[in-house]
Amino acid sequence: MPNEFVDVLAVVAETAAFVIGSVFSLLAGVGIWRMPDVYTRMQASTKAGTLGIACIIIGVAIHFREALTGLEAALVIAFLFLTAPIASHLIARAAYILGVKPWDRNVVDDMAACYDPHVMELRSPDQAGRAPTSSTDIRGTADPRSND
Amino acid sequence: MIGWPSFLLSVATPAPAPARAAAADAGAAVHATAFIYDGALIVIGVAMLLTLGRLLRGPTLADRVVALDLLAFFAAGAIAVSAVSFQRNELLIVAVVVALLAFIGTAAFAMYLERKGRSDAE
Repeated sequence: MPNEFVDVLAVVAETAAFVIGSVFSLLAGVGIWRMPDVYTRMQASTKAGTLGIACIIIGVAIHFREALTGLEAALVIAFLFLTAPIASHLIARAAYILGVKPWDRNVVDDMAACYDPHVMELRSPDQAGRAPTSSTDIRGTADPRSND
Repeated sequence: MIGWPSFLLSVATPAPAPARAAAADAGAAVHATAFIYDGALIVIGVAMLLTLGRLLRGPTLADRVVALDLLAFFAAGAIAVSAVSFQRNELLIVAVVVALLAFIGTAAFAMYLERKGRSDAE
């Protein structure tokens, strides 16, 4: 009897993992199709895509119930979770340097205080010329709604 | 056990002894929830089509790189789902390789884009 219960539990968990993973994958696809600019599209693809594929691979691992398959599944998930943020960071940085404009309803541009396209150098906020007292100072001056 | 949906019950309930041996050879658990795997493959396919649309249409090169990255993720997921639906767990190592190659390709594209942006600004 407990063996049957474990079987039912595994099938329920597997089904739930596949359904959740499919839904998040579809959300990632819809997000990358509908979002207005490259930065928001990257947000949809990285977060929802990673979570969806991770859920699907957890479902695969539950289905096979073997040590080696589980190890491979853990490897895939570890690669996805390690490399997706790095890759999206690289693309976002490259897109900003390439001059891709954010959405026209975008409000905050933190990079504007740190990146000078003529010098072509990224600086940390502490070295950003005007010697701001804190990072909130930069955020305040980069905000077009604040007027100082 | 009463009250489970029928497709779960057909997996969980052990068949009588002679029929159970035959069912184990045929892989009864696969056929019981096969529509879940088909549905997951179809949904991933729809998401891949949307991503392919962004890859073809994307106004900037960075959009295309993001779409290519996500497309490789979906390919890894589709390979994993087909590993279940074919009952071949060796296929999962292909998903590992696809996930790795996706990162390497994206990193190379980003490096190229960044160099292009710096040379354009000069």
